[in-house]
Amino acid sequence: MTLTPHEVAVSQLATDQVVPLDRIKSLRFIKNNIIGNKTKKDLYIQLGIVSRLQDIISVKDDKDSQLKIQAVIVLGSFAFGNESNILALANSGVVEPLLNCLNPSGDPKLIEAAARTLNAIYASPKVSRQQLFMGNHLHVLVQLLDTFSSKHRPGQEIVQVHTAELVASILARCCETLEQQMQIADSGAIPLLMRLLASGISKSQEAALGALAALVKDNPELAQVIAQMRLEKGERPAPFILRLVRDKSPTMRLAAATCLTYLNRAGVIPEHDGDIMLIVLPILVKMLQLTGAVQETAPQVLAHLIWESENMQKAVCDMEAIPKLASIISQMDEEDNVYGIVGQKDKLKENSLLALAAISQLKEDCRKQVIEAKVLSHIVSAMSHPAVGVRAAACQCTRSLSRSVKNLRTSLVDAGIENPLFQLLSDEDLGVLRSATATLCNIVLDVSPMKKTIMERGIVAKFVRMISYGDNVVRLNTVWAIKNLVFEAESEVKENVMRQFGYNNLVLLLNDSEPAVQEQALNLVRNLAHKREHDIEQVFRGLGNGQLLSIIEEKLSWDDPRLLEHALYVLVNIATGTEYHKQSILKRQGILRSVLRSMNHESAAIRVASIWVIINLTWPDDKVSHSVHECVALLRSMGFEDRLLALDTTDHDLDVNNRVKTALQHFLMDQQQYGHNNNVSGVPSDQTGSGIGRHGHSSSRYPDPQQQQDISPSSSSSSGDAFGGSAGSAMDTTHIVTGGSGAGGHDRR
Amino acid sequence: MAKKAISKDDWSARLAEVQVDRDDLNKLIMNYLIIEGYKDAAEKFSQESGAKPPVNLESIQNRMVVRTAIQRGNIEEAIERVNDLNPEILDTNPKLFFHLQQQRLIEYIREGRVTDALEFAQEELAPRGEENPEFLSELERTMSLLAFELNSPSPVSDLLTPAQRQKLASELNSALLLSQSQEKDPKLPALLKMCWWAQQQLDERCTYPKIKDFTKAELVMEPMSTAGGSQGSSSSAVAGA
Repeated sequence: MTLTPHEVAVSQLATDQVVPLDRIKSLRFIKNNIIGNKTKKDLYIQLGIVSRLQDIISVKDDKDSQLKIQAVIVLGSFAFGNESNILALANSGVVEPLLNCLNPSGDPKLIEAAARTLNAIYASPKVSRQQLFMGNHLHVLVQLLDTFSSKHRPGQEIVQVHTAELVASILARCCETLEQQMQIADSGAIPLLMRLLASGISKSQEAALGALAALVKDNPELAQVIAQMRLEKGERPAPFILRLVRDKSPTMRLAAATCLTYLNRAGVIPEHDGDIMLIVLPILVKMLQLTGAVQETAPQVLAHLIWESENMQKAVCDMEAIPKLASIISQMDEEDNVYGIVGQKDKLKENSLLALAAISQLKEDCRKQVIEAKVLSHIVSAMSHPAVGVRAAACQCTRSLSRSVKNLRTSLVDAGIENPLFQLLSDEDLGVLRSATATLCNIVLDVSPMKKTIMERGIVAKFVRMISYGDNVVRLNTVWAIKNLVFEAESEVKENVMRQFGYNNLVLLLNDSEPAVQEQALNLVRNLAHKREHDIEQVFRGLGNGQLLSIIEEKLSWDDPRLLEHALYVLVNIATGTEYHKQSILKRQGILRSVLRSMNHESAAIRVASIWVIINLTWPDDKVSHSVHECVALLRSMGFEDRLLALDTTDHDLDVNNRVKTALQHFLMDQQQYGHNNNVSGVPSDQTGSGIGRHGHSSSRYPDPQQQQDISPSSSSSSGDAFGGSAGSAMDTTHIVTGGSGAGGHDRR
Repeated sequence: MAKKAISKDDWSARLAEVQVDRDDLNKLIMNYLIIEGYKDAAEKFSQESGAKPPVNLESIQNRMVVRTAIQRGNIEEAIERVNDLNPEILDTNPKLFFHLQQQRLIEYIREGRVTDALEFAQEELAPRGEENPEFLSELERTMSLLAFELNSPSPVSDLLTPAQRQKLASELNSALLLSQSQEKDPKLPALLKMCWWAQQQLDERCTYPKIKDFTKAELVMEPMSTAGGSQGSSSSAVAGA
């Protein structure tokens, strides 16, 4: 059987007897076959070439540098293939010998080739960076940045400069964790990168910008260090880079914009805030209309820059970024249909969706614009995209949009978000789950048919699964969603939910390790116990009144003002229930004492809440007037009336004052009806005339009945604080590494 | 609206006042020679004018060799040279690589080596089409060359012209320039385009002596027209740039 020329070439590499020149010939033959040719790359890997190449480059002596160089170049070409090619290389262990080829005493062309190959290999985030940071490798690598070193041989300047550029790119790609950033900084890379930056050679400058950006990303310490450095003429980096952001080359502009974005986010260049808004932002928006790698990455940088900044989001809106992004996304969908290929432009789609998510994050106007741009259907269909990054980004988008006012939220439902959203709740990716649960929170808020339909699909069963998922953010979002689901819902819905969810799960949440989760769980109880005595009764039965009130008593004893407030409001709602319900509170001295204490809390909101408890407990009701009297007497004996009187004169808060007056009225009425046998000193300050009359109450004298119930303000769909934590981690695909392609959800949270 | 009229004398007088630096001129010419890859001319010009070439003339040599190879139809040789100069170029430019392969196919067909052509198409070009569906239509076009007699005109006979090789040579030259961090567009054509555009703008506002042929650079007075517009004459130098 005759061998193919390819098989021959590979076999030629192995033998030591073969004249070195023949091996070089084979290598060149192979090289010229595989460059540009994906099919041939796969073929040669099948033929087992990688280990042969590895043998060649691992040889210790420096005689055959030409042979090594060609072998390294061939390896490099494989690294330009698919990710599976790259992984094949890494798994065979070529990284270490390649790193050894960087030895400064070797042939500069070998060093250059090795740097090029390593750079291509590190383009895949899946390759371990470990070896780079071991032994002397990092030090050797960083020294190669020094193009002025006296160690360099004359006549090799171009090669050395090119090598420095490649090294900067390698550093940018290997700079993902905090440790890596610090190690690179410690190795003395920064001053050398600064020199590259000021070198005046475009490619060197771009490479330096990439490395610097990677170093300062999410690293306030290094950001500060770099922002404070001085370039050769004494200028600081930021103004220098601001000039580069206006360069005629789009890749240069993008590299500069990226660096400035991270510096800006770290807060180390506040003096340039104006420049960022007026110069960098418009330049990024304009890049949306370019093509290629620049257009692909620009939206991601843009999203990162404007995240959590209302001003910038509004500015970007005004620059008509939304129609541009919308047209990118809808055009891609059309192209997909024509070619039937998915995967070529995934990153572009992902980043464009991210940008839309960022723009519509905080401002209602921006969200309206997104809806008006008619891109909603594309966003929804992207939620089912095969690429996880695209799904996550689409979900981020819907999350931002779902913070909108009700009628815009309805557009989401009308666009068919329910189906894909439901599917995403079973997604394997954490980032997707977080965004999906957050979106769900907001969507189920409305009193809409969606509440019913989503329950019919078995959402509660999913909730149960997600509670035990093991991620804090997912758990928090889930409780929040349930809370919103039962907000102002019919009793039937509430019962249905709790029947499936289980009160035992609720108890677990009330005792969760995360205070934020506990808070939402309390709110959930509050919502369940809202509105009807029947509902309160259900909660009592479900939790067992002993357990319910014990939990409340425990929460009241905490210092955490959020838990305190919500626990109080649970009581407020329970106190609107039946006599039995009220009695169960009154029987608990511990609870009453906590309420009393809360009336002096520094937070007005808590004082108000505690007084509402009293108002509701002492609510006059002719049918059970005697119970009311006993209640009043009890509270008076514990000192509540005194406390109220004191607050009446000393408290400055208007809300508190109003509640105090209402509460005092109840005490006064009781006193007038039954006389008093306690030590009540003062007289309520607003005597609204005497003769309150015994039974029957006209609505003019009593506070508005609506105020008796508490409005469970659980509709916190867009409150910054609760999502604040997860919003920060929501920006999880900002992998600006040039050429890198981190999928959503793999990055640092 | 009446347009302002400027006489030839007036115009010439104004032109005479404009200073054009000799150094700038030399730089423009050097820039053109280098980018287009005329190494010998650049060297001679440098000797005679004193203008310094901004780049290593060796690098021009390399590009020239590649260009010559393509112009002669030695695509394989060109590919090997490019890979020696910079192995990344063809790995990062799928379109360029496809065009090079496509040209190889054309050369097989030109030489009448039909079997080789078919084998080559199957072995090398079909996979390219699979990897990048957007190349498929160009591929089909090239394949259809096989359906026609070599020397008779066909809808695809433009593929056999020297212009086709020239196009490819320029494409490759640009890629090489970019990889060497040099600009790929010479400044001279851009200047001419600018001049052309400026004249068009001016046409709307006045009548004046125009340059109609860039190679002659003669000032020609246009007759007064009553209607608003004037015709643009397209000089071949600009159109080709």
